[in-house]
Amino acid sequence: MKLKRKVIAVVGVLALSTTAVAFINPASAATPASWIGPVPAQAGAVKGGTVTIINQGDFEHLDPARNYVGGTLDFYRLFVRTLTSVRTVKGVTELVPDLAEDLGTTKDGGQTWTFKLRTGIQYEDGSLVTCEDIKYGVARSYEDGTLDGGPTYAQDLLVNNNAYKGPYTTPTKDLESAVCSNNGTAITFHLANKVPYFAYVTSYGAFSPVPQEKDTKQNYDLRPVSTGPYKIESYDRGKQLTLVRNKYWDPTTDPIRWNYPDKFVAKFGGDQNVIENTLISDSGEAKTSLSMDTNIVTNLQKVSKDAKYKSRFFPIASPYARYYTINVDTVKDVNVRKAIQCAFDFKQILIAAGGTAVGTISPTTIPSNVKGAYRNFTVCDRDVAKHPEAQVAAAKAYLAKAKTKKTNLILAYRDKGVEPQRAAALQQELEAVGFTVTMSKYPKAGFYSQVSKRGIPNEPDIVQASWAYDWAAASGIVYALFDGRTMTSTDSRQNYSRANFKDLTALFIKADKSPTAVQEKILGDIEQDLVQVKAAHLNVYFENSAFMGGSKLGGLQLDGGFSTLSPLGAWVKK
Amino acid sequence: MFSYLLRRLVSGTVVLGIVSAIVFGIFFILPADPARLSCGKTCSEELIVKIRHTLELDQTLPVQYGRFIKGIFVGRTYLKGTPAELNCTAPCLGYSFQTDQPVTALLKDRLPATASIAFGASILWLLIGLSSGIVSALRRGTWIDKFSQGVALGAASLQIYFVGLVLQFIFVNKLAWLPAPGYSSPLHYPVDWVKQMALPWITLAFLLSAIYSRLTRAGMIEIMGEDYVRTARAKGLSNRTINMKHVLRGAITPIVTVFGLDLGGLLGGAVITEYVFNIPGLGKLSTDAVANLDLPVITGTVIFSAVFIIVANILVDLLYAVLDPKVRIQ
Amino acid sequence: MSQPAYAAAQSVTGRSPSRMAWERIKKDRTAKVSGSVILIFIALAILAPIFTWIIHSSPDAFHTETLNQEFGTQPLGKLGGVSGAHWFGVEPRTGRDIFLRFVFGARTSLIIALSATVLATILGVVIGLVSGFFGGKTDLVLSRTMEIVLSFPSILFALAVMPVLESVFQGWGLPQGNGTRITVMIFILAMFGWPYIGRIVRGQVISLREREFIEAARALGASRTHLIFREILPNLWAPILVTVALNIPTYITAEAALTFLGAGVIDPTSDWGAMLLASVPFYSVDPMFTFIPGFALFMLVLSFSLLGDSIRDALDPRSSR
Repeated sequence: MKLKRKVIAVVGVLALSTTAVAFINPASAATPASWIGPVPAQAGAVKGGTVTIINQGDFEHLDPARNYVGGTLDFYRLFVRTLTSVRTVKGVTELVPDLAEDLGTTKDGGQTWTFKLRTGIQYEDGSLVTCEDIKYGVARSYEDGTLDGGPTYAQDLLVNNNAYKGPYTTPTKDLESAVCSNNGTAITFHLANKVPYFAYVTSYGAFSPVPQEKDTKQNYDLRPVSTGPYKIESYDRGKQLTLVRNKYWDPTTDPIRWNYPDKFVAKFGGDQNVIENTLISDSGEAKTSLSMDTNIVTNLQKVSKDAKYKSRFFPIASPYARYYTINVDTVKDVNVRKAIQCAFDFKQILIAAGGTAVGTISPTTIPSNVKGAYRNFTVCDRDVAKHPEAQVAAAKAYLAKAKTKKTNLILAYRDKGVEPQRAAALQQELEAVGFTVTMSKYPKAGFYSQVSKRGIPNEPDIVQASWAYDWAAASGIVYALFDGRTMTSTDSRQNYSRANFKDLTALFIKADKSPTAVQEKILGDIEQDLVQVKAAHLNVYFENSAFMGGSKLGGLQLDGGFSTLSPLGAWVKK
Repeated sequence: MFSYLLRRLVSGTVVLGIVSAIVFGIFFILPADPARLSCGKTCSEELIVKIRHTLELDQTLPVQYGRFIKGIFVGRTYLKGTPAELNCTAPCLGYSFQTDQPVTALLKDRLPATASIAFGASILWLLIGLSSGIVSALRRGTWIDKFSQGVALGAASLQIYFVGLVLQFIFVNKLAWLPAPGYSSPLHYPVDWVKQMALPWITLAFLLSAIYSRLTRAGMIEIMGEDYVRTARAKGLSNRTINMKHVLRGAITPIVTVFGLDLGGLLGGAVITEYVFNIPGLGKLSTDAVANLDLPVITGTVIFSAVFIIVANILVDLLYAVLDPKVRIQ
Repeated sequence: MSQPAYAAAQSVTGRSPSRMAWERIKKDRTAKVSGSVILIFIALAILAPIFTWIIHSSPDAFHTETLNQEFGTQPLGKLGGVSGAHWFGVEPRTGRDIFLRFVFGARTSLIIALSATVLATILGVVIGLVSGFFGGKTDLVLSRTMEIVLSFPSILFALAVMPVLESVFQGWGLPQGNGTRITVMIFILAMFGWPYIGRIVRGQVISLREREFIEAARALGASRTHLIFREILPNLWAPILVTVALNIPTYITAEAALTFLGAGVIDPTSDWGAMLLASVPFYSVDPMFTFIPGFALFMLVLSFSLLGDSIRDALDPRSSR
């Protein structure tokens, strides 16, 4: 009994901390206080000291154009400013303008967006940030052959009438779809389609300034020029990154960032168990350390149950949806797909991943805080949260009903963390209802590009997939994962189920043209249909993350935008 | 002697060339397309073509191999003549798909940790192995001999990946005498270096000293029966002089051989040791590279370790000639 | 030492060298103990399916009810969940029966190690024979090949080449999954193992080649095949047997090491190396899970080493001791 209550309490905290990011209202008149700097001070915070980040791996990229990983997106804001950004203050997460003064205005329903820019923002050398620099930053993101890794929003969304391919490849051409106006105090983007959520897109690194004369191409990754409160003092890739204060940063222009410690030192290369033990021991440097990429796993029981760790233990519902796609190309009969769905034992998979404490069961990839689109629907005629066990009889019945029987399945998974255990659990469950399952293990790198190959021999029937949304809205999830229109005959892109149903395509087209609230509802309908009727995929749970920090750190908070433990507001206790 | 050395060097180089060609050839017929691997979260066919061009994967295999070998000796330039030109100075082994760093820099960066393991452990295992072997040989048949040979036999049957975990459980988790193994620079943090390296050293030395103990014992017992040792004893030389000067000297040759090969193998990357103890050396670099299918790094580490093995072979042969007067070099 | 002429002379006393060796082994206590341990392991491996019937479970069956539900990493009960139903406890996260995984793991480990030994021995003996007997250019090419193979950082290369060979084998029509992976492992282990036997056989052949009885057979017009397989090979069985006996433990540990590093068989197939790998995150909270496969591996390797030593001593009483 006692056990249960505690878990519920933890989940309660989670729900609060990931309050949905408020949706944009382009027509709002007055400038909200949260759009103006400086950011509200942290209670009791003092300046000085060094905050240490102990991570297992280095940040994937420091070059803003190449970033696409949650923890890094949170961290790099110490030295990277973007047009807009997501801020978390006192547990409230919202999208706010960063380099811009507003969240963009549009007069044509979202096809042309204009952002007014803050003035007087300086780089770490004192020179002024210009609108042309921001445009150059966007232009760089077209060079994804050289500068790989980042999201391709600019290329995907902006108009491109002159075959622009980036400043290195097509140096004589101009990125015509980004226009600086009004003496460089505003930037306008011309999009190919209406994109009501464009202000979310501009929170990504491509929409940050890069001075052209300082662009060192691939090497910019090692030494980006700072616009934030800190700048890079030294960087030994894979080992250590040291940030020191940037005296040209002005807090009154910045509604997002604090600047308490004198230094941030990030050390890389620790092992999961080593970092867990270091943080728990809380001795020496560990007192002022946190880890951004290490979840407490092995010691979760100890840490979450002992009150002495409570003040420095940060559990959060991460946006990581652990879902499974069923290949509609290879598993053609919907009854076979439904039999597969019924075979899932949600709880057993969760225990294989580490126990009921590590995740929250959910049949949909849309988190419950995405209000307009979320719904808790039934799978195999039961509420999976209440009855997580496998529906063996129903599965066998569906299988018996199937016209084109297919009982040999290939289950694809990658060799990372607990994924093999989860796959083994699913294999047992599927075999219990009469399937024969071939396990297909892939190396962790390149997994998704392998399983998205269509029409190849041994194409996987079930893909064990993970996904974290780019922003907490159905538009950041359903378009990215389930839009059959993105597929080619050889590449399913991220639509691993290969679902491309006519009725749903019609809905997608309708959603494209609808205002935000309606669009969200339609996208929610599409996902429900895909799971419930088409049986093309199935979400099992959302992962709970559990971070830890040292006892002498104040101001640590869970960042609702990136679902990570954020060092942005950290300060060292005297 | 000189011409022998030269011949060994030439044949070593030829072997290395063949090894590198095989590695290169095999890894580039991998099922996974390297361009796809370095393509990131959003990947399109168009982007793959671009990356393929950047990595020069659109060239034929012999051309790629030729450029690769040229890169090692004189360096190479990627995307020559374009604004994105990238200069990789010799010895160039390409760039990691995963971190975009030059492979040469990665190898240089990881070598100290591996060298720390190899040298620390080898000193320890030589000390343990030789001394227990000598004692066993001199006290042949006594309980000391039986005990130490029994331990040696047991140790030789143990696995690093088992003993390593057991020792970590005892000394790090239960007794908390040692910090979790890892690598700190011996120049800046000598104390941490020793503390963190202690378990890998002890584990490796314990397992490997067994072979040396058995070799020393067997070698010494054999030499003790030789005529010249009996003659020396008859001449009235002290036992100590005989044992050290004649017997050990005679028994050392096979030990040097095994030692050279063991050390050469370890320096090329203590794969399992580094994996078990999570030490960022060449072995960890290569296992990580395999997990990420980071082909340039895999190729680089395999070739680099092959160099150590081949050089160790040559050195052992030379030492053999110096140490054992019976071996004559033609 | 055992030329046919002498062998004939000895047979007068009624004891062939192999017979003498066998009798020496029978008197050797170490050989008897280690041999029995090996036989027990082999018996466990062969009888593994019987235990699924006794325990009413299978090595792959999940028993999540035996785990702490909230934290699936903890088996309920003492010593990693040891109970009447689960003799060696259960695996964290899955609740699979460790005893069953242990006996089925013995199967996988032994099948791979023994098959690799057989394949490497055949390759090594044939190549060693050819290389030593023909000499000249053939010998040059073959012994250089051995040198090149021995210059490979074998573990690292094997790790890296697994996925390559797997896809090649699949291209030849082998199915996806462990069947192919086991085949690939046997192939890789043999590929790096044969030169050790090849070198020894080659050396022995070179020394035998010029001996009188070969010369005599040659003078009588014996074919090359006859010379190699009828005259030389029968004289090599002793060194081959010793090398094989001493090499088996190497294959067992290499198989476990490769699987431990993630390149070997995959779930759900049981394997000792895979069990050790799975135990790594838990060695501090559930040491029993690490201990069982680790200790089993130790016993098996030790027994094979001791038996190998005994066979060597029996075949060549002058060596060592």
